[in-house]
Amino acid sequence: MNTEERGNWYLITGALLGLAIGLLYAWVINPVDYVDTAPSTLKPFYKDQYRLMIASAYNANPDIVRAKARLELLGDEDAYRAVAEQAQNALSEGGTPAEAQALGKLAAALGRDLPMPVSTPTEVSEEE
Amino acid sequence: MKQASNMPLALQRGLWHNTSGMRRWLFFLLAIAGGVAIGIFYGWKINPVEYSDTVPERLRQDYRTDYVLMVAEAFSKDQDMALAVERLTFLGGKSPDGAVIEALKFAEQEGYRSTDLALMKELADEMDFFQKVLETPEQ
Repeated sequence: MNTEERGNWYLITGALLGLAIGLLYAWVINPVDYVDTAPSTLKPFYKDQYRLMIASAYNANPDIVRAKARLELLGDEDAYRAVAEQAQNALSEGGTPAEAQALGKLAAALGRDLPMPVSTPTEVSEEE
Repeated sequence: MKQASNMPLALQRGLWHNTSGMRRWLFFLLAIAGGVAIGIFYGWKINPVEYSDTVPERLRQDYRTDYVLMVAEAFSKDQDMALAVERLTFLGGKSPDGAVIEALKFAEQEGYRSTDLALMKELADEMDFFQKVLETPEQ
């Protein structure tokens, strides 16, 4: 086959080859290095430790607004549930009673702030 | 003939004497270079590798400072230096007292509340005191 007849497929081949090399370099060989991360990106194990620290700080300084702001940093879908579950599992997972107590106290404070279920008033009929 | 076998393959085949062939090679290499550039741009800027399992050592300074503040708040109640040091090791990297000093500097620069600064200062002072006690040789 004549060189001219082969068309420009070699350009596409070259571009794809280059793209593959570029992605390999950018994702595997030299990926973006994150140095200033947020608590939400921490490994679950470290998130638990961070949450425990929030509870310990709350135990010493019961400022629920501050505790909530800190918990938000962890990016939990339901912060109350995450704290409550950790409080329940604290002792079985090797935590101290003080840690379980701190987590329980924070969970209770968060639970108090949850919206109360709306109850519809029912008519009470008085029967004589 | 023997001389020809020592020549580079491209020259043997007369590729570099062929203008059209040269041009094709040049464009092929340019296409590769363009692909590499696009690939790196995509991999670094548009869709970089996302880290979801990072370690505390990589936390941004404001988060590190808030963590130290939490340790200081807890320490102000329990006065347990061993526990405070253990909690500070969470941050990794520098020594626990180094992390406190760094946090204190950052908090002062950023204008943290005086009560928070006082708590961190208390922790730093207590750590300094304990370190001096530990370094004092027994008589």
